[in-house]
Amino acid sequence: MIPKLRIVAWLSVLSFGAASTAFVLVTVDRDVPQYSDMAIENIVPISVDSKISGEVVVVPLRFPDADVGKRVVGFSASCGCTSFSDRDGNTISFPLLVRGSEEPFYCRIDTTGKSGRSFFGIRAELTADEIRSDREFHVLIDVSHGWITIPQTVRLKDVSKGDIVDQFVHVFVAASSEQRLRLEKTEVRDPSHTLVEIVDRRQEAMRMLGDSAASGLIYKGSLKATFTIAGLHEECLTLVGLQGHVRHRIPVFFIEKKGPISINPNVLFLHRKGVAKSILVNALAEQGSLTISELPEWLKCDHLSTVSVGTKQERTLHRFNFTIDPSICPDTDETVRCEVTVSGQDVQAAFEVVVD
Amino acid sequence: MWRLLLIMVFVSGSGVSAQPETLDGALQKHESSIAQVQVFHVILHIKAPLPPTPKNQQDWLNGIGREPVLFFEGAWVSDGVAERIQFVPHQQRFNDAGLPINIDDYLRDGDVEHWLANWDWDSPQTITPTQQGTVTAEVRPQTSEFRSRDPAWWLLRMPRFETTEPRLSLRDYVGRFNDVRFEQPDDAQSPLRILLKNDRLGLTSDSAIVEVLLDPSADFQISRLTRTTTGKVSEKLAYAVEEIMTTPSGGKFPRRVTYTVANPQAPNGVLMGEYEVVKSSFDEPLDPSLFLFRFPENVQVLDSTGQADSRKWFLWGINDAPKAVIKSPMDLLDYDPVALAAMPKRSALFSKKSILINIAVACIVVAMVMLRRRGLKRRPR
Repeated sequence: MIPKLRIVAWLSVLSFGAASTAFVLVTVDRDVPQYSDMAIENIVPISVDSKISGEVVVVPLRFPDADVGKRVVGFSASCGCTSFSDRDGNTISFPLLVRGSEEPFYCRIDTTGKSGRSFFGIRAELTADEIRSDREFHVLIDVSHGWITIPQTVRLKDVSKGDIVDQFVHVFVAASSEQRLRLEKTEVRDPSHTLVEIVDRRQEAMRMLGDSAASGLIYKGSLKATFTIAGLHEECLTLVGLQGHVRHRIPVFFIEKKGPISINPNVLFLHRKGVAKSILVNALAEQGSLTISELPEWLKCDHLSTVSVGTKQERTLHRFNFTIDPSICPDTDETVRCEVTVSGQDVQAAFEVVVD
Repeated sequence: MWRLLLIMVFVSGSGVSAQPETLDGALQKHESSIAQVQVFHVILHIKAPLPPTPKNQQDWLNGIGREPVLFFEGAWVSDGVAERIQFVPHQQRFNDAGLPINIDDYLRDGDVEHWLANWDWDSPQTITPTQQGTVTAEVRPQTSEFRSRDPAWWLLRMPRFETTEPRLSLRDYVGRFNDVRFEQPDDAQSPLRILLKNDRLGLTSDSAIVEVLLDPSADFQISRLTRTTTGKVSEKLAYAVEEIMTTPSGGKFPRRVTYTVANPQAPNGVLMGEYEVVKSSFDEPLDPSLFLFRFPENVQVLDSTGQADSRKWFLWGINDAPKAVIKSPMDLLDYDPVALAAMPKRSALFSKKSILINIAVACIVVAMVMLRRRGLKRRPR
């Protein structure tokens, strides 16, 4: 009796195990798409050599003879880092005639921000005689780290217009990319507003960045700030390497020094027969009285009002109204430089009145 | 003859400045005009059509029932250095759980940005250190990133089309594009035209062309901003200044701006938004309370004003100051006795004492089994 019971117990354990295994298999099988559904004959895998993050990879998309004469209605890709062009680099406008595998289309993949083995799916939608079909291309790229910079963002506080500020940027490159990736030059978004000059460069000890060894260089850059509007000024410092194929961007923010006086606008445009316009001088409340330098006879200035504004510091807004006497104003375009002085102190700020 | 003379008098006496001949000249005039209005307090109404319901879908498609309704009311205050931006919703005020949404409060002092979202001081939602409801609070460095409802965008003082785009002056916005074309009109009254293509930041489609019109009669402020995209997605987004007002200092400030979207289905454009200044004061004394920003008690505040890679997490106290630095979510339980009491007790089996007792019992059992086996082996059969 007892051996029989033992057999029954073993059998029930085994059957329970088999049932649960079958349940798991059925559930998993239901969630995974069937490979045969994926039109495998249309998938063209393309492998590309390893690239450095930031490099743009140009992949030719070739269509077999069977597709000649069809039209490409559109391309779609698994990431927004792709763009498509013809042989001459022109952006494609659809539909496009497939002329054969010798005349491919080109997909540009920007690897910025990617690392490790990266997969990209590209789907071309084709049409012929109103019958639509798809062709899929899969691209595998091994992407290694590009530059890593410290700091990643530069914030320069208390900068005045025209200041030149020295800033160190530590640029690291992973050991695996070191042979290929050299910093060739730096660029700024608006050279007329910001000047970047590498004034010093020295080697830094190798260190680990994540799981890979990296050697580093310290660049000492000189950044010049000019402001057009008071407040925050944004610049973008770009490191360029591999003949322009790799770019690394470092946002730079200049935060204007809040001086005792700020003048808005810096340039006041006045029309000879136009309406009067005001300059607003935003000054610390404890400043003495403000005066404006001597003006030509035809340009009149009245101190119209003084009101209190300000958050952290008490500030006063002075409104100076400018008018032109057209009867004695010269006919030529005139620019008058005006200086605002605080009683008993040096010149604090200046602005221009342009008459046109 | 008289008509010609009248036109000549009008043109010469209209106060319209001479047309700048270069892009730089046009941008300078625009900047001068923007800088003229630095200290202000305006109240804005943001109107938009309500989305269609299953009942009125057909009418809605035919343009019926798409009259704009008040969606948000906003306040925008600037003292020339700092600005305060606040929005409260008039539609979509609560989420499915009945908690407030779409409320924003920002203080940007030129260096640091304070943000408190979904907190109504008049009718505060119940929060505890562990249960924050819909409230979000942050202190972060002020940058050109501002992914929120932005009056400077809608009133075309800092042009853009998407929240993902940086908040820049027109000069910096123009600098974003590789292809820039400046067109001067034949007459002094017509707007200057700037055409922009090929965004360096890649935030607008390659096929998109942005057109900026600067109106001489509005002191070279933007009168119209359009983005036309062709190709697979074909649409035209347009912001247009419908009314403009003059400030006491002679500056210009938009009173009403409309936003329309045109596409092949609606070639004439559909009104999607209307931004109207309903109350304004310029160059007037500002009440200091307008810039009084505080966080409520028990709100979690994320502070990223330190190093780029270090963020601080605070639990805010009653005196508008942090009462604790939080290192892990479990720390919050120290300040939330109700949540601590509600935490499920750890099973008796897993308490330290029990684990030791269990190990001891197991050792005794194993020892007894082994002794018994040894005893069985030694017993003669």
